[in-house]
Amino acid sequence: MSDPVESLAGPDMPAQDVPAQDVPALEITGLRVRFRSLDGRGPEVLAVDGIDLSVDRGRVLSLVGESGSGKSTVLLAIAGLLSGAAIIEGEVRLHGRPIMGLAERERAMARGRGIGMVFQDPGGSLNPVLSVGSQIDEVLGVHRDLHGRDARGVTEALLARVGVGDPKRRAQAFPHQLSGGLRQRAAIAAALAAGPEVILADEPTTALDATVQAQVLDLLVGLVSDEGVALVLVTHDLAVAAAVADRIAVLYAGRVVEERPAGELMDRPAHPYSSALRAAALPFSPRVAGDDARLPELPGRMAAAGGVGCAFAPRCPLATDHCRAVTPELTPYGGGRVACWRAGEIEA
Amino acid sequence: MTVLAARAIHRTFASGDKLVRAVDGVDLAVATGEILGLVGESGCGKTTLSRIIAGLDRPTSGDVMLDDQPFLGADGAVERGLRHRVQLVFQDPHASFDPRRTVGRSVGLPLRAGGMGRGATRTRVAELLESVGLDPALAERHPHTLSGGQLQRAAIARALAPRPDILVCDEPVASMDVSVRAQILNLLLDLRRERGIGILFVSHDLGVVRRIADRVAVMYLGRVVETGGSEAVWRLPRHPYTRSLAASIPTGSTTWRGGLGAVRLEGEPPSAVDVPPGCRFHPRCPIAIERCRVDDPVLRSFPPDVQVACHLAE
Repeated sequence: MSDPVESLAGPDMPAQDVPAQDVPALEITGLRVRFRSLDGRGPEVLAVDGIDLSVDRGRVLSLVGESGSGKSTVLLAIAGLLSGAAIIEGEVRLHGRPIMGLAERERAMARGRGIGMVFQDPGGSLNPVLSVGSQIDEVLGVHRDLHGRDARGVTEALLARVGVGDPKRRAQAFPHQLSGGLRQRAAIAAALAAGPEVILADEPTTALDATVQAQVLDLLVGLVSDEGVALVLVTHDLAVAAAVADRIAVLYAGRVVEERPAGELMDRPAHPYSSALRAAALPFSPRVAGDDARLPELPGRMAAAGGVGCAFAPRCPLATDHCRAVTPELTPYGGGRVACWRAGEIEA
Repeated sequence: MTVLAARAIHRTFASGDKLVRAVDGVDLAVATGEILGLVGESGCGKTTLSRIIAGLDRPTSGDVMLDDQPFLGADGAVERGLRHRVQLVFQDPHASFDPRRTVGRSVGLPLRAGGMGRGATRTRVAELLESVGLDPALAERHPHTLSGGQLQRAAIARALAPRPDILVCDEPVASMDVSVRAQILNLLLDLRRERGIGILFVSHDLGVVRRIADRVAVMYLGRVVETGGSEAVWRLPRHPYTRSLAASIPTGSTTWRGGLGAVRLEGEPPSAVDVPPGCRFHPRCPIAIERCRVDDPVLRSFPPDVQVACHLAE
């Protein structure tokens, strides 16, 4: 990748309280998210049911799960982007600083400074009627007090850093004038502009073509190792998570069911759901001889969060009466944690 | 035995004063009970080609044949007589069902249009729904009350109604959760095995294609640049584009970081408005030589059953 741009978190940034090195870049504890019904009279819906996660500087944590697992809600709750219908409990710490207790305005500033957000559809995070350069300039103005020509210089350096060729000209382009890959790069530049410690990326390559997906994943991994940012990558694609993450957290019905180093989880998943997910993932790998056979299926559908017992029990080949009655908590397992009464029994 | 063959298909569109060569001379064949994976990135022409084969669009030139019988532009009755043998399944089933009709009415529509009576249609629709693993009672429901996976099964049932020999499936499992995706892919594998239906499977997902396709055709800017037995192609991709494509897909291993600096294609596919002269891949090709800038390569055969359009392939 290209050289790190020295001004990324440059000397022009106002001094912040220097965080201790052993504190995670991002730590969430006891995160619960409920949604009120639209008319306020229906029952609340539980989306995230008590999640503890952390990620260090220079590391990638991937949240993996299917629709309804709560993975995107976790990300939006951290970023403060959920609507007023959401009731959020728990704590989010950026480099040890709790932000949930802050007043609205300070919280927004702490997030804007400390967290960069990248979405699946870069069109959704970029304003269609402003040039991409002016949108990055604006972030630099709010969070780094850079304006006019100073801002534009940094904007162009950021665009160059994320692999946008001819950044002077591209900065003047409107989002629709760029290809999907360039738009996503520009969105990543905007996410970096405030000099964040943490980047939250929600399916950032799902809408991209294969060769472009590889380029953008290269870019994100490069930012993590060169700039030392922490990356939280939400994806439905276990193969993408395996390729770039240091640790993988598998979510099911609003809970983390397994959180392990990526290699461990891919080689020896301990939770039956992780195992089923891995079997269904169909990464790009050779067919085994006589592989005409059908693919492994996972019957049934995901249960709603917050029920009695293990939420995966109705679909689990190993479930017992105990599993159906008592919800398993995350407990240490290998280099991580797993929430399963029969953890490890599926290890092959 | 080849059931469906596309010969020298071209399709151009006017875009202002320019011509978009969306499909620029493609041959394809699908045999009984065979799954042909058609892969390539956005804008490569795979969707245009599949729409032509399914009869939703007409080629500018070229022919589509069933059992060696050309039928495009043939006598209307001949075309109608053959057309029902190729059916299409789309990516988004919620967009391909009329929201106001019950699922059963939609599935039965091609039968009613073919003159089948009301009672016989109802019986046949129930059979069709059962054959794709759905409760026949779902016939009474409206599309929005079904899950995406259920509705995609219903879409497959509807495609099966005229007893086709060929299914053209355009990204049929894109945007599905992996557990649902496995169920739909298994259904397609069953149809191929039990009924000998040939499937043209259009997808950008090489992991899925590698798992289910017997043969594969890789498209780039309106042309097939490499085609052959799926494992033969993926084990030893000969075209530099196929190689880069294969190298860019996560394999499920955790070696990506070590793979940084692996062959990555620069840039994105150019548009079909300005197709480069010579080999259309040369501006992005890491190994292009002078000849590639002027001389358009044709498909050449390599054993056992692969064809590659690259001057440097060996």
